[in-house]
Amino acid sequence: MPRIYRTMKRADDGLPVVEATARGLGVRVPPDKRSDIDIDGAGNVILNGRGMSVAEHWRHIFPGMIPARLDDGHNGARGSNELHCWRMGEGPFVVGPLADKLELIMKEYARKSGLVVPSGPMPVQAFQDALAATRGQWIEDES
Amino acid sequence: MSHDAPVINEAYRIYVRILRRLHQLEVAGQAQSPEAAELESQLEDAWEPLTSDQRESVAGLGSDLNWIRRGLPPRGTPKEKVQSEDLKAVQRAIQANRPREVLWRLRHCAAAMPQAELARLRGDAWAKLGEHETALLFFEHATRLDPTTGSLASIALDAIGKADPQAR
Repeated sequence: MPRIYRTMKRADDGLPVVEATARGLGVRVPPDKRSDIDIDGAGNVILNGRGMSVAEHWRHIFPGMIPARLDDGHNGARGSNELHCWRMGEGPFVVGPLADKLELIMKEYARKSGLVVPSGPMPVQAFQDALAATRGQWIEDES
Repeated sequence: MSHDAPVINEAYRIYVRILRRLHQLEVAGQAQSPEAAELESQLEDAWEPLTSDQRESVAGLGSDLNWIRRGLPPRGTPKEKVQSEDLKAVQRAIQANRPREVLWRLRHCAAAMPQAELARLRGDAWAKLGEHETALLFFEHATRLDPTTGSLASIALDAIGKADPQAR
């Protein structure tokens, strides 16, 4: 399973917050104008290369999502300090299966950035549930 | 580290323009304004099409601007870890006219340098890269930090104003 990083808020139990926002474990859905996925008329996720943003390392995440406390003079970190850096998996950051019903694909422009997408057709709630099911696999890692 | 020049295309320029505006809003105490929130969203969109080299470059600029607002970065190289050889390497990069390398090395050495001088050198490097509006922010900061030695920054400001009136 590829190792991936994402910044998310931390819940009281020390794991990522499950939430359909950019700051949680989940995806934003229409009609949110910043939706992470597209949905067809039947409520299924359209498999068009969109999904939950992740990166090979937290240093490659959009600086606005890296907590400002991690600014090292190079990474431009300017995000909320409510965010924490999390990792999941141990393998190389390559396209492939990630977890049950989920796979990793690469973003078009930056090879150190990827997207977690459904491994096949499924309703949007099934996708959210599959993402939430990974919650216990995320480890906080700001090294 | 990479000193390679990223491709300076419209996508790169858009990101830098938004980042600079956000910085100005934050300096003005308007970080929570509707305009800042909208720009933050635009900045995230502008990040997407950037290549890895471009991302590295604009992230570095982000940290440089953070420094203007917040001082030395919390995870920056501590002063005691900066060697005299690191400072000599900054001078060599300046003499060799390699502004991207200068910027990278300044980020490493920031804690061990007089801060007004750091601001001026950053301004010089950004000006040499043709980023005059960005350079201006650092020259202004140099003058704020040390008005008595701000004359060099003032000269640079005047030069930029003549070369690129849009930057003033």
